[in-house]
Amino acid sequence: MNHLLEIRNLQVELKTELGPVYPVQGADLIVRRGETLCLVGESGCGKSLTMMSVMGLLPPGSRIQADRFHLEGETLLTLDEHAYRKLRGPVIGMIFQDAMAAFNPVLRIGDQLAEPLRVHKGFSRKAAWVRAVEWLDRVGIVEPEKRARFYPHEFSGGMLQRAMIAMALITEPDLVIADEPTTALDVSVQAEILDLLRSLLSERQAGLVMITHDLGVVAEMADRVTVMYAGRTIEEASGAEFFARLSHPYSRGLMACTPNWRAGAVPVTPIPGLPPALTAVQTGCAFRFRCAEAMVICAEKPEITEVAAGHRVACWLNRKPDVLAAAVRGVDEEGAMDVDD
Amino acid sequence: MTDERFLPAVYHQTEINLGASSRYWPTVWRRLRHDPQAILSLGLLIALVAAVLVGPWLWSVDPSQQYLNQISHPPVGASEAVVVDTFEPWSDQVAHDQAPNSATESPLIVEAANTEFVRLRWPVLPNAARFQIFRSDQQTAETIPGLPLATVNAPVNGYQDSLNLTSRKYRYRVIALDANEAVLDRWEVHVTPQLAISRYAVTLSQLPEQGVIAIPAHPLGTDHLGRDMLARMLEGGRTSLFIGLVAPLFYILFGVLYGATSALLGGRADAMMMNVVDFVIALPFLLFMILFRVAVGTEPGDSGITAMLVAMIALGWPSPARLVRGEILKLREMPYVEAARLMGAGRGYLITRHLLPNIMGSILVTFTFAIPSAIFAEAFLSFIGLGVVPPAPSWGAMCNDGLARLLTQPHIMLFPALAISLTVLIFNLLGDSLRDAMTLEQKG
Amino acid sequence: MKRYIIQRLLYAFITIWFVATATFFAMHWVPGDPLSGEKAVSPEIFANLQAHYGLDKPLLEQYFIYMGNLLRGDLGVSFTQQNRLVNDIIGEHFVISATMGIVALFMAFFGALIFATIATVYRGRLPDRLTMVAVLISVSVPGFVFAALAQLAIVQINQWRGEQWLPVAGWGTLAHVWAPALMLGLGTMAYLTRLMRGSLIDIDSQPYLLAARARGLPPWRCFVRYQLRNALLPALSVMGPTITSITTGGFVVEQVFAIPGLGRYFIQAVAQLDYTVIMGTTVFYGAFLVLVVLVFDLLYGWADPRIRVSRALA
Repeated sequence: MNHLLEIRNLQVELKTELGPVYPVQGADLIVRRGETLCLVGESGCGKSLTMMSVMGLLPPGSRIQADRFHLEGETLLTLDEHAYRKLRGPVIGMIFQDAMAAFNPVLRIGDQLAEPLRVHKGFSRKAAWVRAVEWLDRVGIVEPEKRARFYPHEFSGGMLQRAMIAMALITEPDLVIADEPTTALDVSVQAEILDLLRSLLSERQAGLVMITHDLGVVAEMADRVTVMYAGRTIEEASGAEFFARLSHPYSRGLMACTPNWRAGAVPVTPIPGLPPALTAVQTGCAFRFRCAEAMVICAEKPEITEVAAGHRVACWLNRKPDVLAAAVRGVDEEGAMDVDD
Repeated sequence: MTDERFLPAVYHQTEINLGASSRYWPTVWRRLRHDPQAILSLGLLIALVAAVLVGPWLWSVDPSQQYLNQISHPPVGASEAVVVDTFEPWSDQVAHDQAPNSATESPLIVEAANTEFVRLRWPVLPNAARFQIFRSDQQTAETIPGLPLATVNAPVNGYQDSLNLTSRKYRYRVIALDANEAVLDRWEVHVTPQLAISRYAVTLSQLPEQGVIAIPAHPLGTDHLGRDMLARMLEGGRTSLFIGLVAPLFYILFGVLYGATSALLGGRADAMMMNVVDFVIALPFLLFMILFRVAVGTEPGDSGITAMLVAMIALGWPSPARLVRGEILKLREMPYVEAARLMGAGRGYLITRHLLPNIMGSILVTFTFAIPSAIFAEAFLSFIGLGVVPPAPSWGAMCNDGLARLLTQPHIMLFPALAISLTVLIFNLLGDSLRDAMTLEQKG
Repeated sequence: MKRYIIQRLLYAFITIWFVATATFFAMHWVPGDPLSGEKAVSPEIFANLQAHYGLDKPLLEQYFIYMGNLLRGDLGVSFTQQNRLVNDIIGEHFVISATMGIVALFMAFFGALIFATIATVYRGRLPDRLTMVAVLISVSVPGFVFAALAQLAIVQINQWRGEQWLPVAGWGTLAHVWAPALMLGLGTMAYLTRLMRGSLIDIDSQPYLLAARARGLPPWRCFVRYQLRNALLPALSVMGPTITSITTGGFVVEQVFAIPGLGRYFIQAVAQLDYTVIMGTTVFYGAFLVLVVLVFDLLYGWADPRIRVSRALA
């Protein structure tokens, strides 16, 4: 298989003061080399925790299990901490949402960039520094020699995000996880950062997982899309297929509440209600409380099944007798036309 | 064909309880009531204040009454003391020819046994040149003679011991030696002296002249001047708590007014007022307390409390001033205060409605933590002899009294030290709970 | 930055001047004076003595003479111990106080480092709880009580071992230092432990620590460079007040352990109303503390780059 990362039915249990929580209850996703996967969902739906389990950085006392949890064909479930540490950096890199908070405020940018090279690749202090400056240059920071000596608070937000990208990529990982890398930035800077990220990754055929709730970003970046709700993957498809055929009511809801300047006439519709608290494992479809199309059967958990080639959905609507299903699909196409061009 | 399972349905999510009351003070109060640490410390605090206020009334021993026969006593129960003659030399008066009563068990006769003096008499031995007298007060082995009290020469056949006697069992041993240091005989007797008080001490202590005087119990013993420790602890607690409460109350009040004025004036006045604060804060606190205390000095009969209060208030106010100013400046930037101002709320309204209620929490916490610091400062000053003036007790001053006797009579220092530590601990616990309860971001 | 340092130095100078002036006038306001002491002296001798010490001059003139001498670093002669210069007294006794203070500071700092680390690693578990209880007790017990208890304990241990384990009091050998220094540092250690534990736990949830782990840095490296290093900054920022409290705490610990330090001497001088020694020592301590606070503030600014810059801009 050519899957860089393959996750099937991932379950995560966290210990908290108030008892166990199950933030991930069946995450499915696939990342191929050179592809960008966008992981979409509201806050608290388990996107970040899924990726933190890939990093092996869940809080102490957490437990995970999965049918498949493989990186380049090797399972991550049995890896010990020492082996895992060797993956972080050289194999998996991570870009954080808030770059200001992700840098140690009392260390120079250059030192923080150079550090993983010295730890993982045995670079000398000097060589690591030279490489760090090189990378600052590559991510488009002017006067990199001078700026490498700066402290994080002397950088602007956009510059920090660039430095953050350099820090994640400096060890040349095969898989990069970006946790909402642009939400904290101005829209104009957002696009630049995304372009930069894409160009740096396509050079090296690395895979990218982008956690986001911005469907605009998804439309621009995604080779594949995975939508999670209440800790579960409810839809996954290639980018084009996803927007062509939004097959889960939640995905359609997300689309409906994304503002679109071109469709000036269509008002933004929020999805009513809140995602459920994940203090127990869900017995039925977790979205049924907010779903306008909920049915009797939704009290049972829908399996994730293929509705088209490479397009999998966990929703009973797709198994409904044909007549009704066709009508539902008609709605999809209407909505999809606004975005997919 | 219709499958019933695919008919529409509506599901209702169980409501998530987001917590009941969201008003500030009721929430704080509810949290405090559910915090065992807060309950415990509050209970202890009430007990402490009650003890100090009501205690001297219940334990009616005069804290300045000296029991001269009971200096530096460890805790004892109540007892009665016989009044005996003031000490006078006795051995010279012993008649040489008085023969001992051979019917008694021991030839060693105890003629008097009280805590002022124990009088011993022994048989006249023809060849004896000297007699050695030993005393031991513990269950010492037979071979150890005990503390050598004296050696008396032959014609004398008695001895009066008045060395630090207390009311417990002693063993006296007398060894008779001839001119060549050979042991002629040895006698032993066990004596438990009766608690006594000399006529002189009775007069000096201004006690009633009676044959028997009731000595009250000293549950915490007596100090180096024979005063009841419990009575002094209760009295001293009043001093320590008074200073601990009053000094912070005044300097925080002043600090709050100063800080609020500074913040509300703003501009150059604010900058100048804060310069003064910076300056006073830079002064080494305890050093200036000492200096201040020395400069104010004390008149005879003055307890020194006022001087200490003045010094604490003069040096303590800048911290709360700075805190309140900071809080107010922060609050003024808050959107809801901004909104109220934009809607035309007056300054008075803003202060009473928004600023005051919001800074009350931090002021209360500051106050709770200022109390132990003030108690510490009082103890420190009194301990180095610059706090309250001697006849007036305070825990710190009592510790100072006890220091010189620490290794022999540790209770004189340890009881007041324990009182200071416990009191400060109570306030620290209370302050911690209060701060936790008032921090809304913490676990709900 | 240079402007900031100059400004701070100026402030420090003004503060020291104020301390000196306040001390001078406070001393001349004191009821009673050292000359009208125990012995009754004839009016002529009294006048002679007053002239000798310059006490007959107007107050303001005395003040200017005093300040002039102060600027030259001359603190005068002791009133009670003739022929002893206050400078010499301070020089001789301060070495002792400083030695004890420095040992206490080191003990407090490294003790706090160790305990805070243990408490953070075992957060919420027994070692953490024990540490926090110990901290609470240590900040609630005055230094002189600790010193007294330690002294009692040493006596007991010496008796039990039948030989001298540690000296009970006094000064002279290295063995004399440990107990008083530890007791002096205990309160500070507790305070710093609480402070460092708070920062360490705070940093535990900081994204930059997670980011460091996400780069595969070894745990000790994450801890030392990303957690401990940052947690030391708040501790460094309170170093000035900490040294002040250790210095004044030394007064009582010296008293308990009968250590001939400057603090003990100072208290003696206060009791004997030895004008010059009181003034000299107060001014000396005042200047010392103001300068220590200044040095540590600057050091803190240098260690924390965020502050370094904000001050450079100011």
